[in-house]
Amino acid sequence: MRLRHAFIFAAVLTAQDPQRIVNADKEPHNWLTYARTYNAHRYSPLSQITTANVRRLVPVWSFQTSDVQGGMQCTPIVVDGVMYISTSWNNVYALDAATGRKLWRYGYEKPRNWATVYGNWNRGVAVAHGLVFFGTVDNHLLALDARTGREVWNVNVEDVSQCGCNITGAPLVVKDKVIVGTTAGDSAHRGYINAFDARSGRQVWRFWTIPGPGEPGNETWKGDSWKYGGGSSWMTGSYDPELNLVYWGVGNPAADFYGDSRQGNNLYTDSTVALDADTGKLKWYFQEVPHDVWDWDSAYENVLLDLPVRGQRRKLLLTVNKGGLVFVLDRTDGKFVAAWPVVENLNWVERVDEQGNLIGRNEPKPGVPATICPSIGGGRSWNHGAFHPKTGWFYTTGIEWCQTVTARAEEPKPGQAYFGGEFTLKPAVKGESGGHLGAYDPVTGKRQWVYRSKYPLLASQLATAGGLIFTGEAEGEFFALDAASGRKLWSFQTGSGHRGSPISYAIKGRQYIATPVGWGSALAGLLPQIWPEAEQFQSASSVFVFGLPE
Amino acid sequence: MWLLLAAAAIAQVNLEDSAAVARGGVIFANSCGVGYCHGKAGAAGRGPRLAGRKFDREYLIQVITTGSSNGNMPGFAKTYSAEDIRAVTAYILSLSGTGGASGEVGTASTPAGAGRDAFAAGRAVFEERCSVCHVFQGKGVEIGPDLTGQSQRRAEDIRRDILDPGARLSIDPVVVVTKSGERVAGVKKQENRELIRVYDTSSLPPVLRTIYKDQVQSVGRGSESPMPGNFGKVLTPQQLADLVAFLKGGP
Repeated sequence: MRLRHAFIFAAVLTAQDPQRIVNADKEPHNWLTYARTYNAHRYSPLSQITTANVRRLVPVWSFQTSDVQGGMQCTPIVVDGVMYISTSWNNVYALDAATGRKLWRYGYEKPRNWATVYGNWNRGVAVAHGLVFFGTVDNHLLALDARTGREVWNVNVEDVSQCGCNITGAPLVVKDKVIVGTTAGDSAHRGYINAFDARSGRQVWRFWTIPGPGEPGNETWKGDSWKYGGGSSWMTGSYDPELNLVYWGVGNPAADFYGDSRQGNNLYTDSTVALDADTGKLKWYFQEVPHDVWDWDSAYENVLLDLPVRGQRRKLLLTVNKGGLVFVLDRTDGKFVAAWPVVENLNWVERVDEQGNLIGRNEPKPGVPATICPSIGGGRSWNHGAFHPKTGWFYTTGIEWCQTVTARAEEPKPGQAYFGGEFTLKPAVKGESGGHLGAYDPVTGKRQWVYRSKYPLLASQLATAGGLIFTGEAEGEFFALDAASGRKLWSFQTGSGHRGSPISYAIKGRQYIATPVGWGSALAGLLPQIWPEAEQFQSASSVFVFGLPE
Repeated sequence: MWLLLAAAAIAQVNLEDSAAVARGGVIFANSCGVGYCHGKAGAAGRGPRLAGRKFDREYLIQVITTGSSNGNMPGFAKTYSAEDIRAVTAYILSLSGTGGASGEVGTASTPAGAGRDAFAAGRAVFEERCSVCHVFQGKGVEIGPDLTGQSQRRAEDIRRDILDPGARLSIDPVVVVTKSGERVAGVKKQENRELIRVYDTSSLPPVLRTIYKDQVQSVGRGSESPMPGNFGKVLTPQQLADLVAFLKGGP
């Protein structure tokens, strides 16, 4: 008995060590952090499931939660045989990752008088220090005991009735800190990225995504517009342990479509920021879209790549902008390297020059309806792409669609929605509306192959060492493509559309592929404006896990 | 009672009253059609499509006033008057094609004028520094006292409460020492046989700590105010004056 206790104690100590995430490649059977590794590759080195045997893949277990409103958008985390998932309304589950048996459930008290225009969904938890961290619909950050699910600490980051903001993105644990962003880029709110001490919950640093008076960059905002300029940080960042830099994407400025009241470049909206992980101090930034008037976010994943550029090996950062352009930067100093499109329907800018400047901006004029492509839903949604080190290609989705947008002046009301205009989705002007998944050279953007889908693909990609790319589509099919050719090799109908992020892990030598299942979200709700039948797509909130027959 | 009055008012909505429909359209564009919610002219988004559907008027006013029963949509009773809710209901009903003006409603408003406004500046200070622990007019987190209702107090008394919170304690400070030797000081939120929950106010925003009794060494009364005593250093004299003006300027 004493020995058994000693063993458990040792296991807990190990689970407390976030250094394991730095060395995640030493334990490919786990999925320790949001993108498995800090570099956001979403790549699993597990190779039991291959292009040769994937057609024999079968479901092993599934788990149903009852939180179907808003769909299932999380990335499961797997640590030493335990899977942690979060659902909309912030219920968190720990499951036996081999069987799907529930170990514990934490039910978050549904807030009364909840009032924000942002969703009730959640994109995942972070696990380290023996704790499970997640943000909530009403802008709290919580830590639970990973063994019992009992609450340890709970911080109300900013009162939701004041900010209109909440936390939908998964936190990122870096050493002894939990780093998390917030929504409210489409509200009269000033955004921030916060770091909290993992053990005590005490705030350690805050990076304001909009500089205050006297700080460099504040002059890029006209008058008081910096107070209400949006600049959300709603996705999860990346981390380079060697440089000790955290990379985080910042969303659009508010008001989204009307820019006259915030003349200037509006730093650091639509930027990638590199922050010192210990202090939160800005090391560099690169602004993809100065003075955005289209609601393009730069909030998506920052993929860290070490690749040759014109013969010279460089430390790169690749990020997909919501406007449909991929930007490639030098992650040591933020210098522009390249930009390339993931969609054909892209008319808000003519091109990007060799310094990374936008040339030929097509800005909607206030009061005049304009056709802008892609739509506000994005040339791609937030759902993440994947990098496969064996092909050397980046795999990402794109959406072909447009919108009619009418910008108009609006007075900011603190904490309230602040769009400065209206939009209606419109079909693509080039080719057919719909989604696609492509394989791209990460630096040149040369497309190697494309897989087309009738509806936008709104789930993340998973790349595996077996030469496969896994993802799911709107009507419930979960499928595997050959990473080299794009050929579909396997599929399974899960009964509801895909909006989350699949992962891979292994227990006792058996490789598993797990995917959240459950149609929902703002974007899913917008689809009927182009595809009326999408109004009938059924929702769900579950996890499906697949493996080869034993 | 308010809801009943509002419901009575809605019975008088005249779908042919194009002025009410147009005004409702402006409100809808700003609060309901925005971004990902019900979409432009109710075309659907995160919220359901409203265009081309028939709704019961009283159902609409109830949902707009109190929010949807599934909790996905907030109520707007605090945001809009009964008159405004009547107008936006008329507008939504007009989207069904059963009457009223077209769904396309032009809207325009102008940004507020600039100029120094102590009340607004004080509100910004409150929102950045104080609302993590205090409620004012229904907004903020209720850990310390609700600060609504200061208008009759003397400015110097409010200033003293901010600068020297220990001088007039209104909440008993608590100190929990855990078996691992950690000291958590602040405001008690809850205690039962199983656990104690304490707001650690040693840094802001406060951290609500849940400590199970099997981990508790001792629970005692603290000697210092749970509110940090450093606002004399954190706030500039101008910010302090603005904050006092804000607190006195409310109801």
